[in-house]
Amino acid sequence: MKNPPVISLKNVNKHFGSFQALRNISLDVQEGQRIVVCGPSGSGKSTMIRCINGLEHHDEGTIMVNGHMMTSDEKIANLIRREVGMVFQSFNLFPHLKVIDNLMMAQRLVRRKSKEEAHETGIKYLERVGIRAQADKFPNQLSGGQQQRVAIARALCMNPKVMLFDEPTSALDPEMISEVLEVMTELAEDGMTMICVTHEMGFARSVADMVVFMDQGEIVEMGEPETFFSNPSHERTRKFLDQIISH
Amino acid sequence: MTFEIALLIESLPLLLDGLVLTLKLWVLALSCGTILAVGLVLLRMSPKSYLSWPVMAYVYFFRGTPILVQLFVVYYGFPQLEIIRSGPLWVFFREPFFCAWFALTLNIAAYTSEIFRGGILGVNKGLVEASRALGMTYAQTFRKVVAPIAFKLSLPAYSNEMVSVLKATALASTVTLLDVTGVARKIVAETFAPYEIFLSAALIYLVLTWFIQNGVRLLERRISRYAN
Amino acid sequence: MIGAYATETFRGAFLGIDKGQVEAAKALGLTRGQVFWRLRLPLMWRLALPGFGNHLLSLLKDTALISVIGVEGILFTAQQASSVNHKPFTMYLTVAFLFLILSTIVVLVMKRLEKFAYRHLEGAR
Repeated sequence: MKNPPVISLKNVNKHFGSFQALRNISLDVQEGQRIVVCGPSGSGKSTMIRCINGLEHHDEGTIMVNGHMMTSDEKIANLIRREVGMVFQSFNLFPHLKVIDNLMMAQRLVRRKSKEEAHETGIKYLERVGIRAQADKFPNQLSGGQQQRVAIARALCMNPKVMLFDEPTSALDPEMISEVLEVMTELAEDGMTMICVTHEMGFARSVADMVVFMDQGEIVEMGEPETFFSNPSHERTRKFLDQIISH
Repeated sequence: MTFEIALLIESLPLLLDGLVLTLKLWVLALSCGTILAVGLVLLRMSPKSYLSWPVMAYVYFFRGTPILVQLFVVYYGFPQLEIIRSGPLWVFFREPFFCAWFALTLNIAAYTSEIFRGGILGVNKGLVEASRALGMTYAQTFRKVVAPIAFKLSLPAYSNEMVSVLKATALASTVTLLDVTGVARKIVAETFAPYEIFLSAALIYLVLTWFIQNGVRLLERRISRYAN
Repeated sequence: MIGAYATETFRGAFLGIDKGQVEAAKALGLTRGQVFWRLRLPLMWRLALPGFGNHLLSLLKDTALISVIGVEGILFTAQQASSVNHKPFTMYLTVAFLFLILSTIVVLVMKRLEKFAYRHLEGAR
């Protein structure tokens, strides 16, 4: 008997005014699964994961996260967000706080941890992502790759059940992409459930156990990496892969 | 008419007498106005229109009318109203200093609330999203992320407001108060030497402005050392 | 005095013009004069408009101050009127609303001018 999915989207629709961003999206995520979502710009990939943690509200359909139904009620959304970590394309580190304080703030405010506990956890995760030495620096003193790793550590400090990544390496210079992907790969190997929106197909091939292709708001195709990359069934998927891989 | 430097220098210490009142008015009006502005901006940013609309109307009025007119409405106009004359606050409103402070405070609150609003809107939305994604409530996000950053963003505009208020205190002289300008006018009436007297008064305001601008610049530098 | 403030605004706007556009114009072979008149001036006006609107607004409100120095102004009339009809509150409040209407008109005019100046950006997402 399979465990119930950690995240379950059923027939989700989302409009921005007259523009339909999500069409009938249905997706189940099991514990420990690593899902990579790819697709052209405007396909709805970011919108979909932002609906999962309530940063956007879906118009129709159901979204179930960790046994909670996502509604427009802020309290429920808040409860869900505590168990879901998110890493943004533009890092979004708090510029007025040192790195270690960035990591401690949510722990103290949301998890009600003491200063010492929060500090300890923060240092632990900084070591995990490999930048313990930068703890007392301010975000704008770090490189893009380092900042993104801090962002990952910040999300991890909350002990989330699922990690969402919204194009985490798209804003990085090429030489810094690998350090972030390395961290994400280790995270996956440790068993973290993750949904990752990305253009990094190498990462998808090596880490993902399912690849989802979205276009114009729909999930066109999904499957295991080997079949997905070598033999996609849809024409649109083929076209997209051709464009991406030829880089 | 000859220009006498001696008169200019002589009048300076006399004018400094008025400085006490100028500074008193400046400090009191600024502090009360700013505190009021915090309340106003929180109401203004509320999604409930019955909270934000009154503030919008308030700001519209106080920014759309000259301070002098506002001062006259309070000092000369309020006594016309029964409620003020026979009310408990009359003992305050018949004092020119209170009237000047009152009108200035309301005016400052309007302008400053817009300055704060600009600062709040200037905070990178991604930071708010990151806080929410971490599970913080909007109140927590506002207190710990938005407010500190908005404060920093507001500093340049706020320092301009501080200088504007300093100049506005000169209007107190129109309702019998003896601030720097008030003393200046009195001396001019006695000596018939407007150029020299007003020039030294201007000098005093200039020096004060210099202090304000550099003070704020120092503050900005200390806050923004690395946290940009 | 408004000249001093305005010069600063225009200078800021002048410096704010995207250097890339000026270089593109030069690369296309326009003479320096052409570059100035056809590119810089219009762009500078567009950048300066909001600031200039604010200057106009303060100028309008500063006219009230002149009454203090004894020059005939709306406020002076109000003072005289109130000494006759003993309703200073009503008089000054009326003056206030008069200025409010005037400043609203200025703001609306400025907004239309801004819309006109930036019409090439409308429809861009």
